[in-house]
Amino acid sequence: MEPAGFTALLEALATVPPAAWLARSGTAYLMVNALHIAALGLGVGAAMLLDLRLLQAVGRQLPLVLLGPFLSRAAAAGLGLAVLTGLWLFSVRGAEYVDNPAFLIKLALIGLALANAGVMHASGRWTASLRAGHAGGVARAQALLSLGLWLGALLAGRWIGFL
Amino acid sequence: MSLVRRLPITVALAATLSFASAAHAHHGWSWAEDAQSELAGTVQRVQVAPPHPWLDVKTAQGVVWRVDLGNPTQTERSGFTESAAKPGDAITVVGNRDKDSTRQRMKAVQITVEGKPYVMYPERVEKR
Repeated sequence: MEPAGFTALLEALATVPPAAWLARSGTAYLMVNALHIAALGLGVGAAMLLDLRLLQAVGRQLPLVLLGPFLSRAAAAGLGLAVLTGLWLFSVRGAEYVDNPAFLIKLALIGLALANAGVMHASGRWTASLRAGHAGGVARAQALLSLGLWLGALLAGRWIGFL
Repeated sequence: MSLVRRLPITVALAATLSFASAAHAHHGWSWAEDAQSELAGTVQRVQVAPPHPWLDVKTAQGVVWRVDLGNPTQTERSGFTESAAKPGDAITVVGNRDKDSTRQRMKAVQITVEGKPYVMYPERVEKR
């Protein structure tokens, strides 16, 4: 789709009832914004704790077979809600956000972080780590990458408002 | 708690609070010049949606400036709504320009649209 058409689509999106309602209600907007932050707090927090556990930097006494699935599900739940609230917030002024480099970088970093997690699962390294009770070299490297990517995404997200 | 222990804690707390209040007074203005200036032109675009309302203003020289208004609550309090300005309206802006002179960006303290004034930051209006 050509750029002008895409911008028109995003501007049309802003007029759709959920977006228009959120744009008009200052109180609703701040609540959805706060919910977005709470969700990513849970999601990124759980993901980082899991990464740190895989790196054996924290909770070494806590069995990975118990901690792993718990933190992984918490991360998924938090990030899922963050995506939903994020889409809603985005719809309010989508055409402007796609012009914001920090926003685009944030999306790219989230994509990479999710891809990294996907590879961890698809490769069998996740299951193998849980079974062994610890993460091997490549899994630990992925955990370190994951830490950097999520922190980067969080920073990029904050930076949006400062550009 | 003895005075010896209380005093450094009190000093630290006072320092933190004064820093915090100074920072609060300056919140969102750190990128702008200290001195206020005026901008005149015509309205190009109006955006009142959260997180932060703004206007695009085109000067007589054809340069388009991005003018940041107050936050949604402050903007609403000034009386400025989406219907208050439309493209083509004459506007003057009193506020603080970006310290970076290569950027055409300004933080509005007060705007006047077709003769009607809207004060975004009453505490920052300078008496003339």
